[in-house]
Amino acid sequence: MIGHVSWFRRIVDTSIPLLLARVFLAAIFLYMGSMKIGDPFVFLKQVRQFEMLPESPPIYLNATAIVLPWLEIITGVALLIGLRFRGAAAAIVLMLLVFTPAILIRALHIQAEKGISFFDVAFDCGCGSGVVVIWTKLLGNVGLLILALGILLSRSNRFSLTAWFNPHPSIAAA
Amino acid sequence: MQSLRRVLLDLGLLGVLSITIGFGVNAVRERGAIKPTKNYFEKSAQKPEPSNQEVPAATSIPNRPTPVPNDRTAEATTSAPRSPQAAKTGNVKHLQHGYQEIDFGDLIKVFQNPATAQGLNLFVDARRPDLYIEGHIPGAIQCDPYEPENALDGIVARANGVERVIVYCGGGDCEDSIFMCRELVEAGLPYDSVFLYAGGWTEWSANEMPAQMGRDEQ
Repeated sequence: MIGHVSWFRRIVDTSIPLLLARVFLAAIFLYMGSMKIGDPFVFLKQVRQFEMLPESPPIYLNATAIVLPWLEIITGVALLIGLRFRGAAAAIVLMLLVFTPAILIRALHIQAEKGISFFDVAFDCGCGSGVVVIWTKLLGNVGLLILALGILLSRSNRFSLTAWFNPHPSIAAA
Repeated sequence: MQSLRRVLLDLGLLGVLSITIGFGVNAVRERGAIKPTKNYFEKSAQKPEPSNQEVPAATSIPNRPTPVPNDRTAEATTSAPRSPQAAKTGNVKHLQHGYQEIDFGDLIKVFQNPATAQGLNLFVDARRPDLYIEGHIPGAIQCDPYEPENALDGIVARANGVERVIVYCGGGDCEDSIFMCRELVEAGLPYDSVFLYAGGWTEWSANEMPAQMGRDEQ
């Protein structure tokens, strides 16, 4: 058991899992953000469908559709280059904590309306990947949440611009 | 504690950066710019025109179809939904509006009426351009209700003197035709000349009606 722990510890200490998690999350969020930026009105309609924000005054819905895709792009870039990447991971945790329950609630509504199995519910959740089977999307979001939390709670700055700008270990770990 | 403060600071910085870039890009982009204070989902027109001032009464226009109840929620609860998509989703709570509807039977009469060939009935397709190119009601003009500026002036100019302007989108729970009706009325078209075909492209194509492909010729 101790041998297993030290083996796991050694892999974590290489910071390679952290780097892989950052690159993976960055790729996902850069892709999703760029899909939304291409057609803002499609995303605006999808945000509205969640019924989380009032339609009047319209500034809340419109500002969300204007800003959110860019937040995804910027967090993706921050994770990729390793600058302010824990803040980026925190932003992703917040987005997932807001939108994952919203997707679940909408899926339950659609399930009730159509009278179908929850595992057959599929719609375009505005996530940038088109129509998806929702239980797989929810499962994926839980995975992304675990990765983002792992990055948020990590201590290493290896393979990042943060380490390049601030190589002192005691400050870097802060 | 120091780490938490740092994370919150970084989170704030990324947020401010996203707001700045998001609104900045939105302000300069030519297509897809969202107007921050515009309610794109308002169904009723801001400047409703009294129907008895602008246009003749419905009965005075030859072949004008009888308006059907314009609350699709009420309709859905009292009769069969008019499209398979609406029946499937049951999502009709967004579909209330204040515009006259034309049903499929009346639409065929209008479509086959020689007046339509003479341009006295105008069709407006409120779907996305790529869907319009794939197939639309012959003669229909494509106009995006979210960015109507480019096509709206042309439609208003052509609508001058026409009997009906018939707006459609995908059908089912699609609301874009409702928003297009609002844009047309706000642009000056009288309520009584604007008709909404709720069955939309889904119903039209399902009934193997004539279709035209390609871009708007206007």
